[in-house]
Amino acid sequence: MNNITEVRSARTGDSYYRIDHESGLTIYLYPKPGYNSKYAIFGTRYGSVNNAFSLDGGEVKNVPDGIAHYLEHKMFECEDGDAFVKYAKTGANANAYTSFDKTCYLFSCTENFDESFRILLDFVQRPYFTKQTVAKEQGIIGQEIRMYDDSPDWRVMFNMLENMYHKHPVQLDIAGTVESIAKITPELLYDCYYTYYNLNNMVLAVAGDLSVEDILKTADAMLKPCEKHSIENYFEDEPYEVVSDYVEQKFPVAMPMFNLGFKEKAHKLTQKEMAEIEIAVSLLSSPSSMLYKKLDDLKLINQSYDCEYFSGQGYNAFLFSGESRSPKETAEVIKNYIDEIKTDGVDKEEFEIARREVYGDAVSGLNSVDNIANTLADFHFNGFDIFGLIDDIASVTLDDINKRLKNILDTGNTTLSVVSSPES
Amino acid sequence: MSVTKREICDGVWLNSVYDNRFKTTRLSANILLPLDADTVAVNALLCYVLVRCCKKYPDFTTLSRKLGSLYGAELNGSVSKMGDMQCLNISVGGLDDRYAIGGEKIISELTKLMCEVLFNPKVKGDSFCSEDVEQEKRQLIELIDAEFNDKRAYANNRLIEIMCEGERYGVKKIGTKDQIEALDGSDVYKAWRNMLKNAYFDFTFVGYDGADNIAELLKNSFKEINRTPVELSTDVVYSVFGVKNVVEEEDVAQCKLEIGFRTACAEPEPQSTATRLMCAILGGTASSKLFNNVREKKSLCYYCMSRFARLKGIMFVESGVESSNVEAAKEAILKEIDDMKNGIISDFEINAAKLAVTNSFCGVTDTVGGTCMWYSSQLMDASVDTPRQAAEKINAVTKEGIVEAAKKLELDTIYVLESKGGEDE
Repeated sequence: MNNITEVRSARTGDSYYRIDHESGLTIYLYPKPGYNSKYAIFGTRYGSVNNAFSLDGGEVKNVPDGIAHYLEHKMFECEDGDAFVKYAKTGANANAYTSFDKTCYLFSCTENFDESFRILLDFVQRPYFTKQTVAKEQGIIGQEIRMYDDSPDWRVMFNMLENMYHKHPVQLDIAGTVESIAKITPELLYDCYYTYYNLNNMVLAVAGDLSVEDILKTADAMLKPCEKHSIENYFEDEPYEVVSDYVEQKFPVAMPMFNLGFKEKAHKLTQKEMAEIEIAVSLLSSPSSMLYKKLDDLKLINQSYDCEYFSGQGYNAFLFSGESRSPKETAEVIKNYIDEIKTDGVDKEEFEIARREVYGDAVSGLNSVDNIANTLADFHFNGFDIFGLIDDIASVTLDDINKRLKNILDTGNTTLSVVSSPES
Repeated sequence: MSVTKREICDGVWLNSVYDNRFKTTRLSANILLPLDADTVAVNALLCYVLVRCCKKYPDFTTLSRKLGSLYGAELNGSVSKMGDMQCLNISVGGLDDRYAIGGEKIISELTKLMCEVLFNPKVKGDSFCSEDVEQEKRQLIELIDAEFNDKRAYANNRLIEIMCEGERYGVKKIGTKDQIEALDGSDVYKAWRNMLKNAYFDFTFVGYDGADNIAELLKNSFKEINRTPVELSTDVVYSVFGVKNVVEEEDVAQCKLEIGFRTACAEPEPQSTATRLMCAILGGTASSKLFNNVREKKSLCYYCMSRFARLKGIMFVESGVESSNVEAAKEAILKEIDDMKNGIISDFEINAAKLAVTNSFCGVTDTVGGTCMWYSSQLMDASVDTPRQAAEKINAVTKEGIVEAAKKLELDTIYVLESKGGEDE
């Protein structure tokens, strides 16, 4: 039996359906009446950090770095042809990605939704790996890895993560290394597939002018019921402290680039905490903020300046990034400002502007079917509700933020990564 | 969804698109002036100086805080070409009033901000502040440098300059570095006065409610101005006298081959629908002739596509090729065009292009920005089509219509951007 719940939001006038499907899969449908575009995303809670696991209390398996990403590439190859070729006939725009802690397959279209939807549900549930097809991919992915070695944005971030984490695999390249992917075999791919691509560990989110019936008539026919089992992910103990507070790499760039990370104690976020953190991020990075003005007046930043909250299985951090003539001075200004607002509290008007910016951004996000479906899938894995978060943002107070600030952004536990030109 | 068009005053129009699907609204102004080599640079600079700050919000931080307090609203400026006109676009956008936590009147605030930006800039006497002008000059020059670094865009711009020499369309949309460097605050002030008096203003509002209020605010703001608006016009060239062939060298890894054709037909002529579809069949989609035959089957190019400048009546074929393949690619592209003229077009090619074009029409109005662009791009037309209506017109085009459109194509200019010292490296 499928269990269907409608979730409504008085504030936005929208609603969506959560379907606990009898196959074990959780399906979200967010109807957007009058929209021509439709978007579907099918994802599993499995990414590059899941390198050691056990199934139903069995032995712990260690698998090569980069295997989740490799598996994503190989999924498109079906016994009866390439999934991209199938999509070309329906006119859908298809893609997939692997991140630190999830793998997702998606498409967008305006016509022939059901045909594309069938392609998606079919190929993600039907693995087909042989010695030959697995070997073929090693060259292509090897090139992808080398391409990232040439990217200063990528280098400055991974140098930072390597200096932040002692043990946690979030410091490893998502695609692995040329050496690690050479160890991948069809058997290992099947092991990972049957562990993580179990419908109970997955989510399907759809947005567009569609009804529950539209979704269920295909889902009921295509989803193969999965038995629920327990997956245990293993991570080595990670110390609270960063590895070192500074790293620099020489690279031909016009202006030095930096990543400044504030390592936090790893924990699972509550929705209210997330709302407060988003406001804190705005206070520290929006062009309307006092910190932005400070950095801009000192000519330390340009429009590339940004701050984000970075979290997943076993890692939480604030990351600042940008281009700067002096990354060290920039990091000092940011840290001093944070210490200041931790002691004196945030200015009332400053807080109100940040709250409205975050709220406006969250509500505006409901204009886009892509954004809605991506957020529903993401929030499923985090245990958040898209409407609940908007309500939480609206109700955050200055007092909440000042209290929250006391427990986050430890200016004594940061690492600065810099990429600068050999001449400078 | 419905669209209404009303006249605010002489040469000032407001299109309002009523659409209740969106959480946000947008008011966008297309400000049109003739493309003229002597004025494009100062007009472009004016556009960016206006959105930088204004008398009421005199610096970046106060303006950012105002926008922030309006739930993270946006104020943007950009410059483009619309046929033979230079188009300065200034837009404001933000959350719809229905979603403001404290019941704020966001749309009204944003309209007032638009009026402050247009009518009440930060000026001293008869000049804009030199600090603001210098900052925006620097950014505009960076924009020109970035365009130079993007060799594909650079090659296309060179083709247009060569092909349309002596035509207004051949003028660069933001002028040259030297022109920009020579400008000061009083030049920008004169351009601003000229804009208010002489430009054609086309405002588009996309939202749920508030168009009447916007019309009222705009009417009041234009009241004091003695308007003598320019006429919107674009010269379409109907026949070509001799093909131009130009080869230039730059520091590029890959050659750029750019071919320009006159289509002898432009919007709003009704036949331009067939030309649009013809161009899509030739090289506008992943199932097009250029993509499949020239790129995929013959592997002659890294990219090969065609684009219809539909207000001007020009079709561009753009391609990236190895130096040794330039001649072969040229030949292969011209052969595909001959095939079109001779009616060698399959039903699959026609249907795939129809599907792709109508899909993109329908998808575009799922965003506020896309909706705004869709309606404001039709400002030269007598009547306004919804995406569905435009899709019906595309679907009604017959094979004969497509061949007819292809037969009108006349080769005008072939431009090749070669790599310096090419083969030695």
